[in-house]
Amino acid sequence: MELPRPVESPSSPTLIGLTEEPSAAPEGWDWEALDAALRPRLISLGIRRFRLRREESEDAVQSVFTNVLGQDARVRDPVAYIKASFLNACRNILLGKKRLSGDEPDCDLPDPVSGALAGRIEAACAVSGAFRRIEPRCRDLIRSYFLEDRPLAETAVQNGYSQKTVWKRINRCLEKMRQCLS
Amino acid sequence: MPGKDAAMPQLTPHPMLVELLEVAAGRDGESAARAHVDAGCVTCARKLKELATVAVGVLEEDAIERELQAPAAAGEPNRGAVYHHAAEGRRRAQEVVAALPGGLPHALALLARERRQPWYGFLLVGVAQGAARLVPSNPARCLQLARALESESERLVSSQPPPARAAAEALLLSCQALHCLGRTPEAREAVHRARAVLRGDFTAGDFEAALCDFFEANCASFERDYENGERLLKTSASVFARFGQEHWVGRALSAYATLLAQKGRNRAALPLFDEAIEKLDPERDTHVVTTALVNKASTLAHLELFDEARTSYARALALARREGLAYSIHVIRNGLAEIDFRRGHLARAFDSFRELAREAREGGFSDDYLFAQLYVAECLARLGREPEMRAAVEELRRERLPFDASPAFEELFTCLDRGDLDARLIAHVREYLDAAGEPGELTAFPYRSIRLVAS
Repeated sequence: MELPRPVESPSSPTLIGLTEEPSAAPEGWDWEALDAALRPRLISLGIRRFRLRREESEDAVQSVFTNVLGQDARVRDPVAYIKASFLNACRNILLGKKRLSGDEPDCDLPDPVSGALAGRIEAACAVSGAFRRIEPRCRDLIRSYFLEDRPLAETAVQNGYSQKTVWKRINRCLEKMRQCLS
Repeated sequence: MPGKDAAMPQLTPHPMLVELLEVAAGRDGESAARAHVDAGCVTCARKLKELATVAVGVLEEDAIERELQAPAAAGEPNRGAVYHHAAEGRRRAQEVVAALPGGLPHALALLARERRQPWYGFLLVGVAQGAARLVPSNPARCLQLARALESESERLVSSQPPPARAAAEALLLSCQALHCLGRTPEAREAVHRARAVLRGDFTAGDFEAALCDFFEANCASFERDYENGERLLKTSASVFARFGQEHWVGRALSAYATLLAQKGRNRAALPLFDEAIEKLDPERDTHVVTTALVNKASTLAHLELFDEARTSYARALALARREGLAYSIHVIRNGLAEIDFRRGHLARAFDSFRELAREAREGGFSDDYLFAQLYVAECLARLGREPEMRAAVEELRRERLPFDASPAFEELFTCLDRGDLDARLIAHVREYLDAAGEPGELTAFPYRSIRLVAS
């Protein structure tokens, strides 16, 4: 019997390694269809939300779709991947502008808000990642607390927590959220 | 800054996170939590800063989502040939990878045939990623392939994908193959080179860096560089989550849990194993789920939670049998035999270890054979079957074993010849070799003799 052998850990013969790559999507993704659906929305997002010039936003989208073709086999949620890559690209452009305006105060494109915009993107990406690691109920609770502007206890009860255990549970949610963000 | 915290007047206890959340959201008014932070509590100021990130992030994330749902002017999709090239490269890469078990020359010949095609770059990337799945079964061949792919990437002239991406993927394949071959320092060097090469890829970003972190962390864990391994795995899990790729989050968390278990932090490892398993797909990530279940079972066994460990092994065994993961089945049977042994079911453990030792010897896995045979000898000693125990240790002496230069063996065989070998010494030798991990690491773990000095 041939035993294909994974990597062993050094300290115990029963702990085995985990380096195997995931299996690819059998047929691959229809990148052209995703491009058609997402490209105009992303370009618009870059211009309206992050104050990028049209060509900057277009370049960011172009680099994202070029990148994703090289990760084809590793990606299982292509929309999430494209969105996160685009936000990263926008953040990098904004950080570049911030540096530019810092080094050359009289340049053509001084943009004092670029740093703040980049920070907001960073926070959104961090929260989005942390939300994927916590329980859906915790996620809904935190989201609705900030978005619906209601007192925390009321929000918690609205999200299915009993009044009795509400504080303990919210604390646990927030602790997990902090761990994921740190 | 514990000093500063210690200097804080202990009039108010630290506020709960929910109270700090109200401060972060600006809904606290004149609260005690706000006063506590304003009084200079460093711990709570740090927590407040993290919660402020949550406040900004949730609102921004929602705004981004709403923006993406808003109608946008229909743009002209990018109908360039690039998507055709990517699909063609991917299809041909599957053919090359499928040819690999038949021999490297045939696979390289298929590759060479495509050299002038516009999809050649995608083909190189696809082969490097696809071949990674074959690393455990044939690491040496995958290493040769990786080197050929790296060399081929220098021929690329098209910009899609950038040549640097093809070179980096080849280096990541090298890393995995070298790691599997036990050449871990070289594997780590390959990841460092991949990172450097990726700086030349204008499309590469955080996800690619996180992949490098993940592969390097596996090497770091193996080298017992736990501090760096832990840092790299935490970073990569966080980045994979940001990119919404849960199967990669599962891999990173499972590796992190395994690292914690290796450090002896078994209780901390358990919830991470559970989170990892939840994020993985048993159908598509069978091997990784199996591994996570096996490692979780081993962790539970260390905590003497034997029933839970058996349940985890049983789930792993079902998956491993379904997919024909022969080595995983071997490891699971070994783990179950260890549980029998530790519970005192010596006759049953003896039967299992004898069979495992036989299989490992026939398969040429000398370190597996060594441990199984030591267990066989120890079971026999504890069962009072001394002549058979001596025969089992004699059998070990006849084999060429990975640790044969160890002073542990010297003591074992001397005591065998002197006639004072017993279960305690066999267990001592087994535990020492288990802790030493690899023959190359023996110098870092001096052997403590328990018999020869006293004689």
